[in-house]
Amino acid sequence: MLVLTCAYDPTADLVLRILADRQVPVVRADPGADLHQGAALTARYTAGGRRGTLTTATRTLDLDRTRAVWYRRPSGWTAPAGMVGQDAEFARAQTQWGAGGILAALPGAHYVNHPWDIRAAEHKPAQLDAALAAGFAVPDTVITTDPEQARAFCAQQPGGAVYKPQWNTTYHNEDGRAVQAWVAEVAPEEITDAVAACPHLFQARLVKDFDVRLTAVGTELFAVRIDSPDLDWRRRQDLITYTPIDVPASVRRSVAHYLGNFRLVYGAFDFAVDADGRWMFLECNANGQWAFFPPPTIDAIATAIADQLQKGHSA
Amino acid sequence: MPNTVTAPWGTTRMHPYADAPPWPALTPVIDPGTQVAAFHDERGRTVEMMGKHGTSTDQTGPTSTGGGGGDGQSGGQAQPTDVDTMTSNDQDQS
Repeated sequence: MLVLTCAYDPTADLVLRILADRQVPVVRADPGADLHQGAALTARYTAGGRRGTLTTATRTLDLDRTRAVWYRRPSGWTAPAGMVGQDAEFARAQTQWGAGGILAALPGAHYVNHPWDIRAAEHKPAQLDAALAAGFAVPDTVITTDPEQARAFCAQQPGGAVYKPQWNTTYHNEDGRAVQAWVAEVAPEEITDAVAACPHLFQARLVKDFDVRLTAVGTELFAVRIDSPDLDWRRRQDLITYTPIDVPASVRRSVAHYLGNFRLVYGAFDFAVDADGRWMFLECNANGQWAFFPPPTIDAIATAIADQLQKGHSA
Repeated sequence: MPNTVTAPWGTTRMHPYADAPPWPALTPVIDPGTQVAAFHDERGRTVEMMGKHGTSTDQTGPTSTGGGGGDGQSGGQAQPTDVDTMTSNDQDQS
C-alpha cells in the first residue's frame, strides 16, 4: 500500500496509525520532495510487462504489487534545490510527467482518489454539471467574462448574490498579509468591467438554516451540521459548532451518482440546508480535509479510509 | 512589477485570514515501521503535534486542517491549509 503525502500531514498519520495497528504494510512517500532527497523510482517496460520499484529512505515498494494508493497531500513537483531557471523548469516538468505518470498508473491499485480524477473534479463548472445530473438542488449560478451578464445575474437574485473564485492562488495584500476571496454578498453596482479579465463565478445567495459538510468514503457517509455566525464558515472556525446528523435518502443517492460520475471514492461535500430541510449542493472537494471534526467523527472517517485502502479493489 | 491593465474584479474581494498563532519550527521524522511522522523541535525533543485534530500540510510546518482554513489551532503561515499542492479548495458559500 502506498500513501502519497508530505511529512507535515497529521491527518495521514491518523490513518497510518490504524494501518500499523492492523499490521498492514505501508510505504509513505512524498515523491515531489523525496526524489530529490535520496529516494529512487524506476519503472521498466518490456515484452514481459512492467516492473517498478519506489525506494524511500525507509522502505522499498514493489509498484506492481501495490494494492491501494491513498493520494493525500503530496508536495508539488519541484526541481532539485539549487537548480534554477530553464534547467529547473526542465527537471520539474520531467518529474511531474515521469514520476507523476508512473505513480498514477500502478496496475491493480485501488486509488483513493486517483489524482487525475481529483483534478477533473476540482473544476467548478464540472462540479455544477455533475451536481445537476446527480439530482442535487443547486443554487442558480453564472460563470461569465461579461460584466453586463454578471450585473444582470446579481440584480435578478431576490436574496442577493455572492462571488466565488474558481481556484485559489496565493495572494498577498499591500501589507504583505495572505488574503483570499471569502464568500460575501455582491451588490450589482460593485461589479466593474474588470470582470472581463477572466471568468468570474456568481451564485445566488441562499437563505440557509445551517451548513453541512458531508464526507463520503465509498458508500459510508459522515455528515456534520455546521453552525457558524458567518456566511463563510471557514474564516473563523473557532466560532463553529459541529453536530453529526443523518443524511436524507435522496441526498445519499445523489452523492453516489456524483461520486460515480467523477470516479471518486472520497469526496467532501458542502451543502446549505434551508428551513424546509432542503439540502442544496455548494461544492465537492475531492481531496477535502476532515480532521477538524469532533473526535468520534474523525475516528470514524479514519477507520473508513483505512478500510477502503485495506480492501483494495474489492472495496 | 505593477499591472499595466486593471486586475481581475475577483481580486477586489480578497481579505486576510483570521489571525493564527505562530507554529514552532518542527522537523518531521518518518518512523520506519509505522510510517507515521514524529515531530522534533529545535532541541530535538519530540512534540505532540495537535492531538488528533491536526491535519494538513504546508511547507513551513504543520498547520491545522479545516474546511479550507485552520481549525484555529495553528497556521505556520496563516495560509488556508487546503491551498497546497493540489490546491483543492474547500470553497464554501453559505
